Amino acid sequence: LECRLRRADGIYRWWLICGVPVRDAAGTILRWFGTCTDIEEFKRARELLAIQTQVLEMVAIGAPLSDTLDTLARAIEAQVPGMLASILLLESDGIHVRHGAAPSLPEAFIRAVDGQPIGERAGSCGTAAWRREQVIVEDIAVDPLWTDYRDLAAAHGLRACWSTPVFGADKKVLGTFALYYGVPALPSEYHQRLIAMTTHCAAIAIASNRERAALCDSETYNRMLFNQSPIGLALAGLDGKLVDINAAYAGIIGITIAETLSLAYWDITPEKYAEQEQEQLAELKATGVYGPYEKEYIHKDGHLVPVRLRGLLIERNGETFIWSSVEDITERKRAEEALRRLNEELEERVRERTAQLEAVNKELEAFSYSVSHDLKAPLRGIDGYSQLLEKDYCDRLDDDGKLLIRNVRASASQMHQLIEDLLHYSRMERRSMQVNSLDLSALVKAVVAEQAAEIRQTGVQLRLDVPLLTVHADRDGLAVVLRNLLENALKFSCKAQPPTVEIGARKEDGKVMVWVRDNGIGFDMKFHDSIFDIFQRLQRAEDYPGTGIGLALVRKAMGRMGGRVWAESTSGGGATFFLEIPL
Amino acid sequence: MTTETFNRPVLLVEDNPVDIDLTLRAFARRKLTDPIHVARNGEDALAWLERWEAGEPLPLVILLDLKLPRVHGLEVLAQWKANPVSRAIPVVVLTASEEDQDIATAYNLGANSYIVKPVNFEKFLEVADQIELYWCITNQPPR
Repeated sequence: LECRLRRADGIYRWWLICGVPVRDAAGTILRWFGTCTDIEEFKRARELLAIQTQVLEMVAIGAPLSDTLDTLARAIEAQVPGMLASILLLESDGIHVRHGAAPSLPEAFIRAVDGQPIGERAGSCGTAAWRREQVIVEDIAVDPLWTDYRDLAAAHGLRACWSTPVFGADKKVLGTFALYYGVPALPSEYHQRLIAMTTHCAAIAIASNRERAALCDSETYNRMLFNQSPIGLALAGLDGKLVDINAAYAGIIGITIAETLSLAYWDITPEKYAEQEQEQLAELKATGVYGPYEKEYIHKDGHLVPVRLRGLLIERNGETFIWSSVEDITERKRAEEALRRLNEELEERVRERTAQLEAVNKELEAFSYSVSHDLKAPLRGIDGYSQLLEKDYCDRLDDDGKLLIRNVRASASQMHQLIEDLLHYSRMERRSMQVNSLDLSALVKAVVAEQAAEIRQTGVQLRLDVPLLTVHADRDGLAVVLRNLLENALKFSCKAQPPTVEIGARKEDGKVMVWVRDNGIGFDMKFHDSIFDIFQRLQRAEDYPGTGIGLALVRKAMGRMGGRVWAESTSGGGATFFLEIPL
Repeated sequence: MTTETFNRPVLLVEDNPVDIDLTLRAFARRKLTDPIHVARNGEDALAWLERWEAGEPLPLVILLDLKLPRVHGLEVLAQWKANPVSRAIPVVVLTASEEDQDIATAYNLGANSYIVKPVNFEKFLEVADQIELYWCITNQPPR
């Protein structure tokens, strides 16, 4: 049997007493043969082990930290009756301590210590945490470490305090373990053993608790992210059955999460997407990802919700799942629809406007047609009658009279030319353009051929430097341009000795350049812009005939085909007209 | 010259008095045509159909302007060419219009010739000469 006996020096210890009776032949006990073993140490060790086991069990099952530490503290107190245990936790800021467990300390004392900063003179615990080493205070009343807290301790009858820091695996201070005593005292060897075991257990409990808390926090955090994601998230098996979804996903089709989990992908996808679904599934199996692609889900109300999906394959414990993000794109689709309708409206308006312009154009056409027609009639009259006058009454007219008549006819003729040119100019605007592939060299030769007689007559030396080039342009328009430029070149160089005209062309990144150069009278560059205006002339009509429509026609024609015309010249030094034809 | 063709009528369809006068004067020089009837508008021009149907001699050639009041020259042309009585009569469109559209339509409707009236009177005299010589002398009119 085990019993506790008082030794001679007054200390109680545990003993194991075993006895065997010695019996005589009759069975009567003659005497006892026994052993008496001091099992104090053994008992203590066993008890410490039991405490450790209990605490570790609590840690293993994840009991709340306060419970675990409380159990530990109580167990320790039971081992050293009269002493008060206290476990403090050091906050993550490394500065403040918080109450961990102190089953026997006065409430007021606990509250006073909770939240205090550690430091050089912060009592035993604060200093122990600060110094990162055990702090033994034999008598609180006299120890300088307790200066600030002396009265507090005294009020609660605490005299001795031994505090030991609790270290985590990384040597960080997790907290402190302290033993208080009512009278001044120093720790014995047993006390130190006790303290060592306690701090070890406390370290495990605190560290484990922290890890568990961190894990729990992380889990909660991740789950929160999943649940609260504004984009629908869904985990489904390869068979399409939904395994895990968030509120946003369920919200897209207007049902609860619970209801959704009883469905499979195919329950909420309209049949018309079957083929597309197959394609996406194939891609997923081939590449591990699918989408992004758009389709529709069937809402609880029955209407269709346009959605955009993309996802990938993930594995968990050997099972493969499809992890998808689903976005409700109703708003976007609506915006697209609105945009499309806006575009249609704009196109409609453009069509209307074009029709209007065409109508206006037609009016102008009719106008210029009838105007020129009606204007020409009286001209015929003027010319006809003045001719007849000259013919039939020439014997009754003197030279001056004949001159007058000739002037009348000249004016009529000029007016006729003006009308013709105006008609020509307006026709240029009205005529539709037919853009074809043209052989530029051939066109130039054709235009030159038209002027063959004129060229022969004036003895102009004509030089052609047109390589084989193909341009995409309106043939008639370009012909008009070349014709006018050539006519001008011939006209204004006729007085040169000898007159030379050069036509050349060259291809230059994305454009074709053409030039017509003559060695005629040229012009001052300050008139460059005005010579392209309609009916603008720099020379006198008697010297060089013409109404001044030619270059206006050229500019208009070039403008219509997206090209341009400009000139370089000096007065008396010839002129070069350049054309730029886009390809 | 046979007695048939001694009387060589020509029908001029023209609304402008200046043009009428100048044309008549031009044709009067050679004295190859007689008489020259004048229709001042499309309606009057078409009225000749009745007269031809009634037996009046057909003109050797009709000179037709296009810009006519009441009925447009092309419409007149169309009707003449649709009527068996007048279909064979040669029609020379004599107009100021150079428009492609007018030229194309005139020929499509069966005009025999299309001449643009020159403003220059000298040129006009030449044209008148040519018309007279060709249609009144050279050309064999339909029977």
